[in-house]
Amino acid sequence: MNAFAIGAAAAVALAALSALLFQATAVTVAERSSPEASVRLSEEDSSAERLEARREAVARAE
Amino acid sequence: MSPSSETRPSETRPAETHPAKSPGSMSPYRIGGAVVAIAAAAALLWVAIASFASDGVVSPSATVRAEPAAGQRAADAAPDARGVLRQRTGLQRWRAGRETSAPSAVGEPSLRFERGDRLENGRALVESWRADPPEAAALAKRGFVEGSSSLPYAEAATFEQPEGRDWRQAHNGPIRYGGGWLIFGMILALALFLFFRGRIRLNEGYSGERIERFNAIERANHWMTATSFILMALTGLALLYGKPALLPLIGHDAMGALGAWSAWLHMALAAPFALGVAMMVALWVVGNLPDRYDWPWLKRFGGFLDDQGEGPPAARFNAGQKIVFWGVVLGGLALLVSGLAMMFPFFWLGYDGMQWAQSAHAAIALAMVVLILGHIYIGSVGMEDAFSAMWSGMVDRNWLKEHHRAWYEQIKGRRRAAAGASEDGAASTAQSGGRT
Repeated sequence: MNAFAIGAAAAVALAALSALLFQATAVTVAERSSPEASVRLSEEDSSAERLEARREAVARAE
Repeated sequence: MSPSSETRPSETRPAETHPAKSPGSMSPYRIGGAVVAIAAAAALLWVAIASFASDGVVSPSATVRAEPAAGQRAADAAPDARGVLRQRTGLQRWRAGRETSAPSAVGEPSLRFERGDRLENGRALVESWRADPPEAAALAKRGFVEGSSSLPYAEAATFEQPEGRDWRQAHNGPIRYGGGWLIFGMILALALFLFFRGRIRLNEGYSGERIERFNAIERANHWMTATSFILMALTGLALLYGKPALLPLIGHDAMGALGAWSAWLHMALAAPFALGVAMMVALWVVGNLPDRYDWPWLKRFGGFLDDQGEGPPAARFNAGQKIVFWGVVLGGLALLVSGLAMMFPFFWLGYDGMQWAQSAHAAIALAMVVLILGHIYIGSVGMEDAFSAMWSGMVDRNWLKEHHRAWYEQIKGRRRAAAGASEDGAASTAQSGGRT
């Protein structure tokens, strides 16, 4: 088998492996984006700083 | 890596000299160059017309209409959705404390909004936005929309991102058309070079002795990197030019499938490409460091412009090959970093960072495509016997002498030293054998 065939086959094999890895990663992203995760992250991410900024904006508007 | 000509014996094949050219005859390579030059010139003309005809205005094809709510007369409703949206913007600015006076009531209760299937003259609408002073000012102003949000992610709370217009303008203008100019311009330049210069031939013809230039690991790694790069270039070009160039030809369904496959393949092929470039660094970085042959080689353009006399000397890699090597290594690194930033959105960068990453990724990739076009040309049709260096690993002794004379002298010196050592060894064995 010549070097071109070996190199091209290695490229395809490695690409397939990394595609499988991305599939696995994509599941994690989907979980992170699920409604349940959104609620959880919303609670975590509603930092005091952000809440304070919101209170200030509302106070100004009123 | 040192040349492996010592580990793999050189081969021989019959010596061959070039037949004398008959006056007025033209080689098939030159004819091919002329044909490709005509096609590339036509493509370049098309790109030129498209780039100067387009002003980059992106017009909406559908719209949102404000309809009178049930029980409302049309005359009582606000004249159009724009008026309502303007009122809402004012209300938001007032709520955010950027305006002191409260806007007049929003006409929402009297209106319902419907998505219009088709906007007849979207361009006129965009132009009216630009002409209308309050909206034109809003379009030009950065950070206009500010407020607070309780949405879970910071990125989800970004409703309006004015820098997106800059990104779209760069993407649809300089990058897209610039890529067309670069790629077709390079193809035209190479085809014209082939037509006027002809193929770079071996001045002394084939000696018949074949010497190893690249070993099996180097060649397999080169082809792994090359396969990945070519497929990534094709899929990247499909993503960049799919909408303007392919969508009208193949339709939405096929373009959707092609886009999805291209995005996946493009990301998956990054792994073999990155590995290949890392191995190239390990294998070839020493040979690609600057040396005293580079500047004279560049000044004479490698002696490629004519067949007169000997070309400038070069070690294992000449200055042109070093430019390709460092272009691939540094450009590949930049593509990897910017590509990873896009593969993991909002992980490292926000909207503006990802816009920069995308623009830089496209611009660097287009520059690398042009560089590799030159590399493919000189490694195939442009120069006699160059392709076999990476295909079989072997080149003719005269090729090595003409294009890498300094390296050839090194190989010759090593061979002479090895032959001398073996002769000395044989002589001393014979002497010692004679004594006993």
